[in-house]
Amino acid sequence: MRYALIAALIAAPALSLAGPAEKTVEARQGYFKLLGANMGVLAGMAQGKVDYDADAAQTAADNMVVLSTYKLAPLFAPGTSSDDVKDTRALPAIWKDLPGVTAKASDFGAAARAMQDVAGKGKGEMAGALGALGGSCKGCHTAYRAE
Amino acid sequence: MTKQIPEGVSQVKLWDVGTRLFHWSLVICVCSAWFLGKFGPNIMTLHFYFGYAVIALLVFRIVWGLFGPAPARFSHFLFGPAATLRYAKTLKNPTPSYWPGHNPIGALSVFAMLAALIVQVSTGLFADPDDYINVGPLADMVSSEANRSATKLHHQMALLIAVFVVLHVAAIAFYKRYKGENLVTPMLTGWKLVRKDKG
Repeated sequence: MRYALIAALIAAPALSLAGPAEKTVEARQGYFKLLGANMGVLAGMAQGKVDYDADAAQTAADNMVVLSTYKLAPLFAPGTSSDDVKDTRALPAIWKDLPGVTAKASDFGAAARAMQDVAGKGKGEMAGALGALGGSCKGCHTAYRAE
Repeated sequence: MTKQIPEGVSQVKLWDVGTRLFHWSLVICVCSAWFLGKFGPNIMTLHFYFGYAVIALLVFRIVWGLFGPAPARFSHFLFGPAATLRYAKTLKNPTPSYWPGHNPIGALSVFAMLAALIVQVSTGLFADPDDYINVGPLADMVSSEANRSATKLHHQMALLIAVFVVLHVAAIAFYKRYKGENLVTPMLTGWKLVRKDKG
């Protein structure tokens, strides 16, 4: 009885934590799916897979800027790294280097605003801004995402 | 040739111009692709071009290995374990090997390097690092799981290739300094001192 109680006391927080951490990971992946959906629109046009459409490009760029202002702290709650939760590639390095992550996030914000300025002005202008924007994706993946 | 040529050894045209051009082009393309991959700009267009050049060079080397001049042919430097061990035992002798081609240990390095590069260019074609600016040209043909595995393997192989290159250069330095055999000049001019009894 006493052991059962101790076991329950140990297990209870673990069980109650498992749910929210996984939900946080799902929400976080949703955030990156949104980024990917809008990046996909811009990259598709830049690579000529779809015809350039100024309005669609501007919408995607506007959305990227909105997403870049999203407050990310809750999505990166402690205890949601690849060490804690299955099916996430978010490395513990993120939580060990929050200033580095913040700097990369602000690089992304700047690249998104630069894209917003030119996305509707023509395919060449849009494609020119895509390098820095994609580079800001790459910068984070290299440092903070499991391969 | 002012230097005295030892008995039983002669100066022969060992490496044909195709093999030599292949070798040094591969040096340039692999090094360029490697450094551009690690330290290059975010948009990796040049890395891709050097990768395509490596594919072309590998195709050439395989054709040359099957139908090219004798010393360049795979069959010429395919050795069994016994021959390889026998050669390995002579490595400690501080004398030139005068080997007429890729020696049994060097041959291992040739095959390892070619295999590693084949894996490297293949995974590169299917890699997708999710940055929307650098996507392997064949990435759309496979699942995103496969894209991910290819990307991971591509990064791991880069390390292995660097190790192979360092080992290769170290071996060349070892032959020069310890065994007194220059292997660089033959790869430039084609002419090498080799044993008369073999090859």
